[in-house]
Amino acid sequence: MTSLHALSTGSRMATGHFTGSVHSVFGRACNITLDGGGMLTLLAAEFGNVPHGARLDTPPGFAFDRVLCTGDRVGCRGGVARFAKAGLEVCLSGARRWHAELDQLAVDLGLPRVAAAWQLTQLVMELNARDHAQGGLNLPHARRKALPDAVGALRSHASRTAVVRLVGCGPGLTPAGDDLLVGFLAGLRASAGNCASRQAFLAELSATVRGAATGTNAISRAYLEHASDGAFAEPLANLARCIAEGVEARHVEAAAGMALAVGATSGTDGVRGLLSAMACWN
Amino acid sequence: MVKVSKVFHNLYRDSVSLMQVSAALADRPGVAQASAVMASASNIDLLRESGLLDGDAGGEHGASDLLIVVEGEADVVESALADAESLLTRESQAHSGSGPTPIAPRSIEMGLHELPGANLALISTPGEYAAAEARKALNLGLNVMLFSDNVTLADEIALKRLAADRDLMVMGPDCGTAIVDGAPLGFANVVRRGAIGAVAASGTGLQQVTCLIDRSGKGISQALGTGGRDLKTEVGGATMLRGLQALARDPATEVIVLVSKPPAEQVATRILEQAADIPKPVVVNFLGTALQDRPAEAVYLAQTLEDAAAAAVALVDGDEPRPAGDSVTPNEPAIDTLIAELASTQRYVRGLFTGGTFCYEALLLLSKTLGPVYSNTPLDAKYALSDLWRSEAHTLVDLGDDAFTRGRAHPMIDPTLRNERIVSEADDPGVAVILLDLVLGHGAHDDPAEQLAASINAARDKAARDGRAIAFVASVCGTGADPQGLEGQESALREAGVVLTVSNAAAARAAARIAAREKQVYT
Repeated sequence: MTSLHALSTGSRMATGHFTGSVHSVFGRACNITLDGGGMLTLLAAEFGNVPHGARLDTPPGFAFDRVLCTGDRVGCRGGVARFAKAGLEVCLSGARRWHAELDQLAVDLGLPRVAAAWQLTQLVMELNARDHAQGGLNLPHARRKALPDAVGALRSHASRTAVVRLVGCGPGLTPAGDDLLVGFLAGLRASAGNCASRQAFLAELSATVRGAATGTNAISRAYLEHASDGAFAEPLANLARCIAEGVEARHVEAAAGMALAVGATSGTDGVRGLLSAMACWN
Repeated sequence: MVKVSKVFHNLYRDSVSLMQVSAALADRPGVAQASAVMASASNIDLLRESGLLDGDAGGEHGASDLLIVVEGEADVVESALADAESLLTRESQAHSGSGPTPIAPRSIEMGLHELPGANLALISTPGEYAAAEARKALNLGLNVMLFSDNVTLADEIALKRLAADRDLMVMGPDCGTAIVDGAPLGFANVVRRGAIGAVAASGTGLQQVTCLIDRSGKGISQALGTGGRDLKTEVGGATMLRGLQALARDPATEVIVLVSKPPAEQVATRILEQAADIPKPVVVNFLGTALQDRPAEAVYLAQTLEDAAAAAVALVDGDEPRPAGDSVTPNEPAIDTLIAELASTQRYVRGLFTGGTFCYEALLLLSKTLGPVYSNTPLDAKYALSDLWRSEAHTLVDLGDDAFTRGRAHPMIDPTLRNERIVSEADDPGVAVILLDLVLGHGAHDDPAEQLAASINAARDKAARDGRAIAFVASVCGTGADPQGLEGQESALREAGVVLTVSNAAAARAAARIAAREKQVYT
């Protein structure tokens, strides 16, 4: 029996009692579909936290896909998840609980240090942006642009249309449009502050995203659903905080680098969404 | 053209794998376009809009399915699709899903976190960002090799001051060549390790010296670049002085070589004074300066790059240096025979160089023996080419100069422009000899001699149709251990009838003799 322990768990990660099956498995991560609905993700130690995931103390060289197969059953009792067929148990209890606090932020690009942090992130993104062209299928610029245009003007109908046209759109296992939407929601949440109209708009937009999320695959849907509830992955949340607080340039750069490094292009799309949202409400 | 598509139900592959499959498909001959994406409604719309999909993808499919579409020639698309399927159904690579993957460093700080023992950052970014990146590296305690150009002089001065404050070194800006602890950096050659250290304000100058030293059986301890402006008054030779002191302290270095085009006078004086204080022999090659007086017994003045290399080799053996002389290889086709084939109208040398310092060194040598030589980088502004694309009388062209590399790769990487110019020079009935350099090593073209030989043959044939012969003279700057292999490259040029010399200076002298109709002298 191989035993792993959780180093930290996301705020929306089930840790007590659940059953499910392995949905998809990769070298350093695996996704589990819960019988009661929803998805959780097990991650190797080197990754940042995600709302619905657990970072495990995986040893170097450990590969989930050498141990687990799609369809393997898992049951969790008393905080210990057991994959009987694979002989793997994962102890989830006692791990540090991680959560992002984007609601407490209030991005104000009128403040020079905050504007500088935003601009530096934009610069780092441009320098590091990977080529999205994949066999001729790109996320069209018009679709990308429609959302901030509509949200900036607080136009509900146009925003809803823009969301629907982005979900499931573009290249990648989590399509580029979904990653952009996650970043965008993070940016709005970090920028809404105490403004009642913005808070209301954000709630409506989040509901739209949640409803439209059925238009994409299960892995991406999980991120969209959590984002619509205000829960985001650690690299993106950390970057949002660094910008909002206008921290020192080297910290902004490091945070931007970590956020951009997520996935093949997911990170870049997420950061693009984050910056776009912050700009359209400032 | 036909379009085919296939749906893979509930198949999850990470985004890197999807990108790789798309790219592999699109690269196949006969495939016009291809895509591997999740089969969401949005993507189906996009594929229709882009013309990759007509109608539906066929069969049941949903957002959790993977869809591959291929458009191409009828006899190719099905096999392309089959190959894509086998790529996808292979075990997935080390990357995990679309969630977080192992984080590749995206900044110098992140890189240093991954490699905490690093002591050098090589920076190659657009010039407007390079200074900032260099500053970060210095603040993190790293030495810097600044490959980037378009860094302002003010930034260069500030960076070198910051480096001095931190007891660090900045090589550059526009430093394209270095060999540090045996590791070739940028455009550098694979040379033996040994006891000769070099500091140069010239990339190809450094390459020539290190390659000639390797060719003689000796080796290099360190080869440091300073950037082309280091020896200007404003910069004060900051990096060359720092490099000189570092090699003086380095127990593995027994002899030091300094190379540059003419430095500012005060800078040259300061460097020579410091060289005189060092308890190791120092060979100084400031190309184009008229230095005669040695500031100290252990400081040797060389007039050419080959002299500098020869002096260093002699000194490391404990011998007194003597000039390399005219080192035309004895078993090359007799220069007399080449001269005899020339018509009386054929008087001119046309040099087409990829290395700026090689062009400069050849200008110095040819001007002494042949008189005025035109160039895009002339010694005297009077002899600037009025049209860069048209030679006049004796002309030497630096094809690596900005005028020729705007929007295109350097001629060491892409020889197209030079190859075309070789053929066009053959149209001029006044051309007697075409002089060339060929630079090997990391970063250079995989097989420059093959294409060069083809152009030489085409030029020769063209002239022959007009009843003219043209002589071709070249030197190859490289080593046997270089990726291209020195011996094979030289062989290819010999087969094309090129007179080969060991050094650029020897090639220039040989070309001058041919044009001046002087009998060859063997040493």
